[in-house]
Amino acid sequence: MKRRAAIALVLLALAAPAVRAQERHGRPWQELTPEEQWRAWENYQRYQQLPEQRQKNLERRYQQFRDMPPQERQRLRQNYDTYRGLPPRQRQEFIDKYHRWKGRR
Amino acid sequence: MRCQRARKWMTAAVDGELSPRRRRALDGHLAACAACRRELAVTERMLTALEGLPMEAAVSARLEQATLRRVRLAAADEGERAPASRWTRWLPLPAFALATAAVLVLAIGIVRRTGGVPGAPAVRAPRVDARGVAQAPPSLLRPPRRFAKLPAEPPAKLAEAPDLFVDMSIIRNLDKLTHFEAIQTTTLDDEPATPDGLEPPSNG
Amino acid sequence: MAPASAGEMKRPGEPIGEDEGAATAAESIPAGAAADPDVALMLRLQAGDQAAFQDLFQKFSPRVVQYARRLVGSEARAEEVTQDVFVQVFRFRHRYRPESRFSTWLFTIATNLCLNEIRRPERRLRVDLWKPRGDDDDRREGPQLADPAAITPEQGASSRELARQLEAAVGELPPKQRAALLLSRVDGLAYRDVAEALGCTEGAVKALLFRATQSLKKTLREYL
Repeated sequence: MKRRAAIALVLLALAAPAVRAQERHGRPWQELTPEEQWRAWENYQRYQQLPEQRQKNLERRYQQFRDMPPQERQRLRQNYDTYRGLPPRQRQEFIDKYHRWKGRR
Repeated sequence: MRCQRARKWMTAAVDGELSPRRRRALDGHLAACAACRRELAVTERMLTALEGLPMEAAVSARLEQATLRRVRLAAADEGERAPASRWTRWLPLPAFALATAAVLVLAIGIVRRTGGVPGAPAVRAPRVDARGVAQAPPSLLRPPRRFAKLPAEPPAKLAEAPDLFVDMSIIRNLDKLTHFEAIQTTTLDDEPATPDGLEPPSNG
Repeated sequence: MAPASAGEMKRPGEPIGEDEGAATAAESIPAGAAADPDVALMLRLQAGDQAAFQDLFQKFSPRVVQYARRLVGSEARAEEVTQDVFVQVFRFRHRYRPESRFSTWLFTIATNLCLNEIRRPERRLRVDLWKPRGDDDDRREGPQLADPAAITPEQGASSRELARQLEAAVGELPPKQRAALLLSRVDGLAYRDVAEALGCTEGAVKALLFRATQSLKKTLREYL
């Protein structure tokens, strides 16, 4: 029993870096659905056109995103879906409010 | 209002991009400041002169032909990578529908027998994404809408962090999405967001 | 609540309207947008009508060429960039959303390609378009000078000189200031549209324009 527990612990210890790596870097390419792969590919092409500094900023924000708890990432996705469901006028209003809100911070 | 701020607002005033409140403030200053009135006149003359510059140039036939040629090549490239459209081009509709049905029956048979589609990506069963939404498996019959081709091997940067690119829209707007509710409850009024109403430029 | 990043606060916000391509333009045409002839052409192009592309090219390419010339400073390269712009219009036609004016979307593409071109290391040697090359006016490159109607020959001459000096001064501006200035004068792009094309805020556009006009006034005061 103790031996099995020890083996399980070793396996967990070996798997933990892989799990942390996945948490840090996200899913491997092969685990994306075809739709996700297309989306990633198109966004990658847009990323290529960005200046280097903006690329670095994106990567930094990506790490912040990955470091968030899953529920927080889920909340941001829901917010994004909410934004996309807004009619155009309200979307523009949101952008205006963002700049106003940012200026007051 | 000081002259320095008044001069900052002049171009926007000439362009009609100043808020009513700021326009009134500027007008009040101009009424009392001859130097700024002269400066505004110089600004107006300069912007008018700019608008007098030709905004169009002749386009040579060579440029037009070269562009259309490249677009035709791009269109042909899309056409080659969209097998469905090639099918519909040379099969009459009823035959196409019959062929489609036959493929469907065959594909279902293969899936049932082997439990998977040969050559398909690793994950085929309906999956639930991070949003908790079940995703339908990709269609067996119609290829994706895109016309360009996915690379056989993703570039290193893409392979290293695919989720960065899947979620790039969210990541680009992290600040807005993180503080979404607070931003939505912000009121819009004529109060300047920053002391001089201008945000620091990004560059240039 | 997730901690805000100091780096994000410093950066101008990017428009959140990024689309992942899931929705097509046809699913969300605002009322009245389809009545806009340019939007109608783009919708036709998205539906597969390649003749619509030719119409768009003929209508907008003269403006794009002129804009590119002034931004990249070379006639030959401006023509190449113009080709690239319209090829991208075609290749990414499904990304166009009718909520924006087509000209805003077009000049966003043009600005990005021009600024990328300017940033290429092999382009550090700047080609100066605005210095006349000898007396051979037929071979003169660069934007055609305005020939405004003048009441007197003296007025005409001074207007032409102002235009010439203005072109040269615009060419000396830093790229983003130059782009902001040209965009705000092209097709009556509002500051909001210029901000979208440049990928910055309206406040940043105002700052760019303020700096640009200050530079021009300083250079051209004797002519104004």
